Amino acid sequence: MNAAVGFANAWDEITLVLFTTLAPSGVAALIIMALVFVARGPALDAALRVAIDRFLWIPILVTMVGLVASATHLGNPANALYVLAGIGRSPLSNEVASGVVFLGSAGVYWLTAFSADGGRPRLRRAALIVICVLGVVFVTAIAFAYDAETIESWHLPVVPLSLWANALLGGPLLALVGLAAAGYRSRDSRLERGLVAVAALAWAANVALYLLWGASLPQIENALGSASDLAPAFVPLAGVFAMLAAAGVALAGMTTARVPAAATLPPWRLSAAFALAAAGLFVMRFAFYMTRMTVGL
Amino acid sequence: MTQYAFSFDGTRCTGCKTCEMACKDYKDLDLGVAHRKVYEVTTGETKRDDKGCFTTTCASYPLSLSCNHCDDPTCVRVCPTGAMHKDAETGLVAVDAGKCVGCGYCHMACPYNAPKVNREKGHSVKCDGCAERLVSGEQPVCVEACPARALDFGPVDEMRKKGERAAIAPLPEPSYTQPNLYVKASADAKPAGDAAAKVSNPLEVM
Repeated sequence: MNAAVGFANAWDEITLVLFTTLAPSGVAALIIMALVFVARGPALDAALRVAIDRFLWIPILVTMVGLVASATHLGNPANALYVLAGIGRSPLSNEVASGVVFLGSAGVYWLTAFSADGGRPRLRRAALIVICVLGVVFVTAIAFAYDAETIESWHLPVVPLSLWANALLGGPLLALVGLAAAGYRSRDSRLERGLVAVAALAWAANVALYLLWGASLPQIENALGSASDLAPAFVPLAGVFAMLAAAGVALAGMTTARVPAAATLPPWRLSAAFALAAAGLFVMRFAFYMTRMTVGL
Repeated sequence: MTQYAFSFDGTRCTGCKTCEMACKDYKDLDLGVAHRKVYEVTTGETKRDDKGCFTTTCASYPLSLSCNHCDDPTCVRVCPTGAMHKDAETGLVAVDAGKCVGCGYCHMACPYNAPKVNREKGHSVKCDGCAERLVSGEQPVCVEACPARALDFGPVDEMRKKGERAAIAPLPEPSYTQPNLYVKASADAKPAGDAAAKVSNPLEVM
């Protein structure tokens, strides 16, 4: 086994690389945007609440692009409904089903944001809490989607942990985009600064997990070679991730700090910040798919 | 139910690959697809001592392998659609092409490199134990073709008499999936999980 085999492994699953880059961040961003309303409740200005509800299309779209991309790697999507047969047994069925339920619920919630009176706040708040829980279930299902005992390079605690760390890095940055687009600005920028801080902490957690993971790859071996043979550049790629994601977090931090507290944050600059972080995440999701190897052949 | 199994006699196999070619011919498999493969396993090293004298522990042995129609197949466990299933009568593991989405999870998880997604067909393909030949009382074509009679196939109780449940390198420990492959190991065969035994023809078999 060598890097060419690893590259082919990842290239064959390129749409899953894209899906696992976008969906966790999209879900986390939706949860964060929803929590603004859930936490502040009826105290939130009605027009602003409706604006946030409507701009949930941003994280919903990002998540949906991921899920649709993942479906394109199927050999025969016409049989996709049979995926429901494996719920509870196959981790992949759990992932797909939880994703469909989450996106369906979030989509219906978003559509109802366009009702003339803006809906009933108490009901909408309860619905958002349910959607947040569904989102947590979905991201966890993505994290464990390829957790099979026989795939020794993926049957590791660092795999689900890093996927959640990915969500906590990209999610806050994408939530900043959605909130800025909705015209929301918290008092003294406390929420915005908090989100940048969460992303910065998640960045550090990601880097630590990737270094730990990279160091463990040479010890994962079978008769064909080791996981580090498949992805010899895993640690350098983690360096690329660290730089791209740090640039994204820094750009979001500077944008939040420099725009006066009363003004709305520029969504495009924050979008660029998220794109930088997502590019970093994409690199490491590619590296993840490079390392696929079983306990045997 | 009668669970069927393969047996492999490592003291007979010469690595000629007739089994693999007979299968490809009978199943009309394209380039790049094989349901049975022969793994060339090499072990040992050659050293030179202080006086310039060479000594070697190098050895190699072939292993002919298809799907092992495991008792607890990981491909069936992870398959999201239930397309990958164990036949209730024979225990043979097969793909229902009418249900398979071609996601490739079976290929990713199988530690015996058995299923593979055929992109043109849009679904997974693998050894089905020549189920149609079994019905008419014939052996799988690979078994029939083996000139050294190193392969055999039949009810698991009979195959069990011919060797140990597969536990030689480069195979994993049988505890992962309980394979229905019974092996009489050659003298040089290394135990399962021994990373010192390397597959030396990966471009051919993987």
